[in-house]
Amino acid sequence: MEWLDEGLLLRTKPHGESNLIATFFTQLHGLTTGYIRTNKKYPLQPGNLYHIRNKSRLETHMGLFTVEQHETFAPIICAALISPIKLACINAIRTLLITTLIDHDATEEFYIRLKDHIHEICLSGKTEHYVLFEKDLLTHCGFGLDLTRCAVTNVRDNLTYVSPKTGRAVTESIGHPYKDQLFHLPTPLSDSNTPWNKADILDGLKITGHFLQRMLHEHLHRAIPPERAFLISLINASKVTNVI
Amino acid sequence: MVGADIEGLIKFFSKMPGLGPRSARRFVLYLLKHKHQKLLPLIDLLAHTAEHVSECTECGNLDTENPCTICSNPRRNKAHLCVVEHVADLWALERSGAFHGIYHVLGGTLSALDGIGPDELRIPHLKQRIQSNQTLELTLALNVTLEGQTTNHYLAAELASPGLKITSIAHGVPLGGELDYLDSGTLITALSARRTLETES
Repeated sequence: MEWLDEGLLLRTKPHGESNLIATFFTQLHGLTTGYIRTNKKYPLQPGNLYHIRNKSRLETHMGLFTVEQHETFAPIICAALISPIKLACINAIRTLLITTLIDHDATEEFYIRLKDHIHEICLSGKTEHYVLFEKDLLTHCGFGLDLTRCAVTNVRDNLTYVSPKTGRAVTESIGHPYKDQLFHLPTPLSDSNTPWNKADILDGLKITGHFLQRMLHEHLHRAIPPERAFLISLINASKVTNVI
Repeated sequence: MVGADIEGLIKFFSKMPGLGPRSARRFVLYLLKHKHQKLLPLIDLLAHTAEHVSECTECGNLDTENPCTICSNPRRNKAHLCVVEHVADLWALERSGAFHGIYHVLGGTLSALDGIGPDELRIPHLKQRIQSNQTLELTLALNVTLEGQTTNHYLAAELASPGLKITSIAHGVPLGGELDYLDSGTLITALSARRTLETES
């Protein structure tokens, strides 16, 4: 069984003195783990993008990976290493991917969007793309949020709240009597032309966090990785109010 | 064919870093052939080491003394503390002879995927040492990996206090390194940390 793919390195575990067991999120093969004979001179960096060649006897066997760094991703990971919030985003992304995804469940569209989100977070400093990543992750896992129209009236304007039960948006007039039980919907999440601010990011994380918690707790019996809470604490502590 | 005892010894040595079954067999054979010159002194040395070497209660270094020779050296600058991941990193910095302060071995880096949080590392003890030594500069010399840098940022945020300067070691082109052979990440980091060359005029 031989295939070529590209993937984001999520985790490495040392095996013996210089070899590794590495988990990637790949474009065509989803979450996949393989064995790598490494050279200590060129260590593999989780968070980086690699070209992967897999060789295994059967499809179900753990393959022997030969990897080569994707040059276009180098500036991204460099930008992440020097910024606490960008680094926390990368850590939260990779831990969430490992915690939520099942092996070999690939969606090319999600993979491409994930790469775009990482690019925007690290090179443009747009932390809001982390919220969009979590929204896409929920959609990929079958828990998509419907934030484009009101669940009751079907209108597309003035969407202000999100139901914690259905993940669907409602307008101000419909949701107001129940506002204590609903999440506040940040405007940029339903209208992509509106710029984000810090409060929008935190509101967005509250919504995605609730559904991630539900999905992980009820279906996978796992807890949300602490990296996510650390990221939220950094965003909370940041002094800048619009772009972080 | 060798006896079970010798086979057991070979198997034991083959698990050591840098040794495989073949080199372990050569090693054991060499020791057995030179029993009085090598094997018996080695046994004495190992017994002595096992009895006397312990982890320094201050910095986490391994030494025959506690506190270790670095912590108890009065000529060391106690106001400058360098945080490293493992004892091997401490020894590497000591070999360079460039650092004259004292060390703190964390014992790893933060990694929730591996279940390593702040309490699993020697971070609470580090806070105590900073206070008791009245540290003026804290140098974070952790590996340039995702986990290492995460720990760097965590420590910088957690330990920030007025009067404490927190620094980290530089990243970039190694001495003797040829640019053609370096990865893009290292080159980008090196370029972003460029510095003005000093001239005599």
